[in-house]
Amino acid sequence: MSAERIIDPETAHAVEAMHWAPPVAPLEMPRQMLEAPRREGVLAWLVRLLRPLQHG
Amino acid sequence: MARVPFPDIRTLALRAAALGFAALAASSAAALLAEASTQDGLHGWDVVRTALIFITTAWLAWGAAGAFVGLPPRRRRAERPPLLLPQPPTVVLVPVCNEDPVTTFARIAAMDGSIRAAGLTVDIAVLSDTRDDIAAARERDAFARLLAETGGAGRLFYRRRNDNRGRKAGNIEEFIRTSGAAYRFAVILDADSLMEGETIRQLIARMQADPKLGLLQTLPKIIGAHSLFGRAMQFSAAFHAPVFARGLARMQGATGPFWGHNAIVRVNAFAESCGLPALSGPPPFGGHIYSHDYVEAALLARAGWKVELDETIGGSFEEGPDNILAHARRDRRWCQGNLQHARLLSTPGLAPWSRFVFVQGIFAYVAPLFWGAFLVASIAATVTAPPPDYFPEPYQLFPVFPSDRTKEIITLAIGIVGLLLLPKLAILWSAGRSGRAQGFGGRARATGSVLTEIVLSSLLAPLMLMYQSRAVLQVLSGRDGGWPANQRGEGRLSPGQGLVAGFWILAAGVLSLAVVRMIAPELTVWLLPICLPMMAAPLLIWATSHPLAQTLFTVPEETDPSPVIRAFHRWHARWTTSSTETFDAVA
Repeated sequence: MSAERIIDPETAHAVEAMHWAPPVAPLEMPRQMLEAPRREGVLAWLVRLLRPLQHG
Repeated sequence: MARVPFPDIRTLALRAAALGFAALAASSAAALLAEASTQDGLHGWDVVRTALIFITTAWLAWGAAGAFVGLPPRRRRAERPPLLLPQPPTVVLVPVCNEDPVTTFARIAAMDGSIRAAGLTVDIAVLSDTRDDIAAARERDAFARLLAETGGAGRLFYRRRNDNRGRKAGNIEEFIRTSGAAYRFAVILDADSLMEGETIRQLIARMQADPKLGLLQTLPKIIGAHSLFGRAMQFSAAFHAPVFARGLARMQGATGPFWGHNAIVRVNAFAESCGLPALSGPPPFGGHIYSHDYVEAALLARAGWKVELDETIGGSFEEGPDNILAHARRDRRWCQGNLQHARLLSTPGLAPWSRFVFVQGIFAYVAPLFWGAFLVASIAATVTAPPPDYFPEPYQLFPVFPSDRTKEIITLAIGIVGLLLLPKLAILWSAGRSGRAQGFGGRARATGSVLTEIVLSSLLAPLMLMYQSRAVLQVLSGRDGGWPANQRGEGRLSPGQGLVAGFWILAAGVLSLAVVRMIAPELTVWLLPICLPMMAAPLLIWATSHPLAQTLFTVPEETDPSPVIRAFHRWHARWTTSSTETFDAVA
């Protein structure tokens, strides 16, 4: 692999070798909860309250 | 481990003292203004401007309190535990995005040499988010050369993401998801960071010595500045920042700051607590988290990990913007990031201090709007004030002249200016006494530098106020600033560029002064310290981007550069002189 040559962007991928990549050693990174679950509005609450009546 | 670290008594006492000082200063300012402005009776505008002076003074006093808390030196230097063998696997992460590859990889070559000289076995991974294929090709070419000349295969790594989701935070997250289990510690840097191998050794040892420490932040010194603006910032970061940072460290305790780079993290702690989701809704308030570092620090603390800042750790460097425009561009991004934190104030489980830090970050950007509102309210109060009544009583023989309250107003102005200047002057006095001023060219030169920096920052303050106000209004109106790449290196501006960039500030200054002169001429003189620098904005933007006052603003890293800085210059010179054509040929 010669670093001195002038690189041709069309074939630049050719210089990238597998050993350039960091080691493969996966680690889980769970998504954190940042936003509290949205509180439903009064209207949604009323609708839910009325739902059993609608179903008889 | 899931308990937010509880602050100790000392930390709580310092926080209470600083908050008390801010409240006292704000109350005194509000009382003075209320007394002076209600001589002719209480009016609506008087209430508004008294409330505004309370808020703005509290903010200034809070900043000053941080310096006063940091002024006393540490009684004993922070622990320097030895490195325990076998040395835990550690990686240095260098996220890059459209950077100059020659400069970036010269830094990596210098750090690699310094790490090996320190007897460490540490990998360095370049995490590229560069979108442009030609720029990426140049990166690959520079990396191939780096490997060839350092023999770094197997310890120096390079990978480029196909999509740069989550920007820098996403870039690091992708590395941890793919390679995190291979390392116990990760030193996170920026593309313009430099760190001594000995510093990395200290950081690893500190993490080994305290298994609850999730993140240790260093205070990077700014290096490589050329212009008047850049060198003033470089001086300020070296001379004033350690004291402010010590105050911050004392007040934040174990819920300390993370500034996104020049810090070491415990990889498993970071992985288990810092997977950031995108916020609901579109940018600027929704989408990916802009200022991820503050959030990651808060999340580490939420998970029970300690986050600490140690300003005494040396050998940690970064570069800064070399002109006002580059500074304003970076500040626009930080503004959006900090305002976005408003969405996270109610995040479940955060330490109260982490929420306070979010509020503080938000206030740092909205404070100029409060100052602007105070000026407007003061003008309105003067314009709408009733005319003086010289004969308030019927059949009064002698006139009653309105009492002159200039004394109270001048006292108030001196108090506010004092809050701005006193911390810097106290730091100068302390540096003179402790001998720290020697590194800044001796007492006389350090004094000249501090005074010049005060004058320069006073001249630039109205410009910064305008840029920050514009940024806040843009974000509040829903404009996403995107993620422009940092502009590094030489930042000299032409007079034309200064005029184009500063014309809107000039126009605002002229208009403000003309309006005030027309409707409240007695206030004209009070507005001159703000309006005159605004009217000189193009000149200031242009002039401060040039290398003026080179004899001032001396910093220790200029007179006696750290070995890693010298090594960086050697690598950079070697690559730029031997193969400029090589790298430029593809551009």
